[in-house]
Amino acid sequence: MENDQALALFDEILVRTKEGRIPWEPLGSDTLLAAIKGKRSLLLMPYTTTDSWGNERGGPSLTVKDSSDRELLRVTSEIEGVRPEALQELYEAARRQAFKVDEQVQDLLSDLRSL
Amino acid sequence: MVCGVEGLQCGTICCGTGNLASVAGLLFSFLAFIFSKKASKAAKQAQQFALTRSLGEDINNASKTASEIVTYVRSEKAEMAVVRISELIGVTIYIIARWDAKLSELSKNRLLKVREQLHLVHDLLGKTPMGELSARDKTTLARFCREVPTTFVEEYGVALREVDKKV
Repeated sequence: MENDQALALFDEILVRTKEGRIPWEPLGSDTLLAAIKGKRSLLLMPYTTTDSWGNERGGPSLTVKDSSDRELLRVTSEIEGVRPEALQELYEAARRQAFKVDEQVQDLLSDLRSL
Repeated sequence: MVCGVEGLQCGTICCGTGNLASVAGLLFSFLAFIFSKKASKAAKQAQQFALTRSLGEDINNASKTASEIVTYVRSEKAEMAVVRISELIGVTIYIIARWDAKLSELSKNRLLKVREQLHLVHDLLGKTPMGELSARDKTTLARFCREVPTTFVEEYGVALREVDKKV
């Protein structure tokens, strides 16, 4: 599926996430959310769809919603130019930021060194 | 000549009275302008106060619903929880739309997060009986029960603080 806007948006979100500029937060145990300027929200899930049994299928997916709860865009690896590895990279970078993984690991390291 | 002088005096007096009346008129106009300005400012403040109070009322009602949902979740009444969650999703969307100009960017971001948490828990309770939830889903529920009512209570506090500023 070709979608230039979705591809451009995904690239920008990936770059901004790597720069640590997007305020990703944990929503559930593995779903991540970033609210952008009180107008839109980005939802990052570690899967693409769920089947009727509730099993999660596919790689990470990104959904953009507006303030009225309308789904504006959905980015999955089905979009031409969006590589599954890049989506996984985005999810991992966002997860590390949302759960403050780097800070926690640093803190743990200094705790371990002081033992 | 005398008559002319008298006429002149009369004219001066009349002219003086006229000037006095003009000055008094000007003064009254100025005072009326000041009072109307003050009245307009007071009316504007009263309107702002009423609006902020309503925002507070809306958020307070949402906060009560959020607490009810947590009670239903904790007592494992999933169906009731799902019904109230649907209501609260609608109320949250309404608050963001209705009070867009009054809410700060931070408040709107927090309400957007709450809306998504509500969606997440709505879907989660809809797909699996509560007793069969996975450890991961239980973590999601626990986070929901901890964060959603707190967010509404905090936002209610923010709205009340705005009212206090205006009193």
